[in-house]
Amino acid sequence: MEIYVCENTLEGVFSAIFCAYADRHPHSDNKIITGSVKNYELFANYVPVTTKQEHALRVSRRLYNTLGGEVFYDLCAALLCETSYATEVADAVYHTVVLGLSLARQGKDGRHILEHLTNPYVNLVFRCARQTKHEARQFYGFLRFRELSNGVLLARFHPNNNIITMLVEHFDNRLPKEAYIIYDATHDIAALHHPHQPSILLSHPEFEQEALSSYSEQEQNYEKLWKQFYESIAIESRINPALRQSNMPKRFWKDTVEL
Amino acid sequence: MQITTDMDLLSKLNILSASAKYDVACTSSGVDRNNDGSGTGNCIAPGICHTFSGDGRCVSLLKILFTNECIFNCSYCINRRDNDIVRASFTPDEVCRLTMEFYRRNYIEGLFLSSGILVSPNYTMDLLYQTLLKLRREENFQGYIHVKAIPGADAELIRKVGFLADRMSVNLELPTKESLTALAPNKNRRTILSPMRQIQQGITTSKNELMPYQQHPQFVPAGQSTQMIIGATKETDYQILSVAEKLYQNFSLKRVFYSAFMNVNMDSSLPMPAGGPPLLREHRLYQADFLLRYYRFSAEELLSEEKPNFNVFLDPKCDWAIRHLELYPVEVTTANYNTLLRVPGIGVTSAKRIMAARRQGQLSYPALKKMGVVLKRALFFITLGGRQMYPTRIEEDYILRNLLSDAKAPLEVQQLSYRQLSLFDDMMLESKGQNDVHECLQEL
Ligand code: SF4
Repeated sequence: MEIYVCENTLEGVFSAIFCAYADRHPHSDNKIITGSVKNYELFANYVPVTTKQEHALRVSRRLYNTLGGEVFYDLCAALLCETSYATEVADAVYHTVVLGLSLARQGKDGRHILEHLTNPYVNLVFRCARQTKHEARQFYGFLRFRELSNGVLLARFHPNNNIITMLVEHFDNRLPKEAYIIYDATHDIAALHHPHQPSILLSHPEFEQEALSSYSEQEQNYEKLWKQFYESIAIESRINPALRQSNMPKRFWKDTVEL
Repeated sequence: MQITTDMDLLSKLNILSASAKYDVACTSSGVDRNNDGSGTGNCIAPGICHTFSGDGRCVSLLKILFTNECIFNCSYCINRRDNDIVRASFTPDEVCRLTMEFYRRNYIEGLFLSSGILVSPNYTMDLLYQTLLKLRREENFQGYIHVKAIPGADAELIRKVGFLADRMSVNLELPTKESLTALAPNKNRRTILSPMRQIQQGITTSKNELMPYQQHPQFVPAGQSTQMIIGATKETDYQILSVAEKLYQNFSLKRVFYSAFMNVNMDSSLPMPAGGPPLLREHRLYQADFLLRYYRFSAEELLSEEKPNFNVFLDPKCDWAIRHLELYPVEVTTANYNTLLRVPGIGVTSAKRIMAARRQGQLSYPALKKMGVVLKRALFFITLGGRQMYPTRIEEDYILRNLLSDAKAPLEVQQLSYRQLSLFDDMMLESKGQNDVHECLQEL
């Protein structure tokens, strides 16, 4: 049994998949784990995987072309998932890929691979992808930008999953003319956006705290207007805190302006 | 009437959002549009909720009235001419500035602009047009815009506005012509239905023409919606739902919204529901509306002259299933899509997943659960490979008791038989608490 141990990133996992294919051991005996090994299994051969851009790219291209853009997106989304049941998601992605590519080789359509929900690997990928996509969709709405005194917009947020790339895709398209920073405080990663350019990701950005806490003159004014709007839009005879909280759980509140 | 001219923006926003809140539509759905790189904003078809207000409703758009002045006198409306309230009006500039500044902070998905009628329908519609024109052309705003068509405005104005908006709506207000005349004396069915028809035709023409040249501005690409007030007049659920069905069929509406009546003017000629607005009734109508749009039900199947109102304690789909037990159990491995959709506990998404998954492999009860089937409801109505999840009786009162205890209905209700339960009328409804709309809308 081969156990590939790789970095916990998209590139890391794709590099491991590359190695597994290159080694030509039976896939059913193989496993991919990310991070460090916690409990060594007897009779297993541990293979450390070095992340290689080139390998990762070749795997991505292959997956994109054979399984289609939607499946590829979901595989990536699944790998960003960090909930409790996601610890083995890298392995599940690997075996889902094996299944998809082998279907494609038999002339069947690999684009429907994620419909094989009765397969436990596929099922896990499906659930993890659904989870991260859901959280990204929530932050599409709940993220709040504040204008700094230099005109840059700053959004700080605390996601459960590592979804910043999914947000960047959305906001780069939405606000092309703005200069903005999206800062994921859970993972200490920032996305920096210059007008009309794709955002750049930075881990452990080490911002100067002062620059990030001086807001523009107008900022307070618009926050006040927004809070006013938020208050007056609710209908008194329908007040329903339980419903509000089930739609927008408390963990989101601290990064909004209105709550 | 108090008229205030120079009021600050904060006070205006306070007044003009408070008076817009009774309009229930706030969705930003129905259109996918990428930013072309030169402006601000984009749209994604499912829409986005940006926050949830104290009443638990989704806030997606900056929902405001352009003005709360009005020359009309609709008895259910807080802005009616005879009310002595503080009046305010925005300028097109102010609306643009609020929209843009809120949008870039990601407070909102776009603008929902409605209005009282200032001077005349045309005068008001033109103000809305000027505002939208400025927002689209000068600010290059590419986010979502929902705008009201003012009943009685000229067709040409409505056409021009339609090319700037994503969604338009004309409120039907009340389900029947008679009620409309009684409560909204300045409106009539014709001034409501004719812009509705015009918008429908505009959408069709625009879709047909657009194929070859995509750059052309589209006419109301996210479709049109409308709204009806529930419980101000004496129409039954059956009448209301039949009207909604006709609107979907004959006017190709995207959505019909239902608004539980609130007697905001304490008008003694209108009902004064003791337990607050009829929220449960509104909730049942939304559920039934879902069944019309996504579950291929017709109004006739759900209600009739003999049974004109929804059951207080059962959602319309369970209610229908219990009245049609001869059709169950459904064999999940072979049933077609339409049949699966009619199983309580199986929703649109889970039905699609079942169809896909059973082509690929064996189904099991745990697998169904993972696909989102609500087994504690579905188990009475399905078999899998000929077997029930566990043996249950397919019998009216037995299933009913189980579903009711699941829905946490009061104990004395759980002990009723189905026939007794059907005799309950809306009187009960007012005293019961509120329901979680979202939960039921997802998996009916
Ligand atoms: S037309 Fe009727 S419903 Fe509309 S604002 Fe005027 S009074 Fe209210």
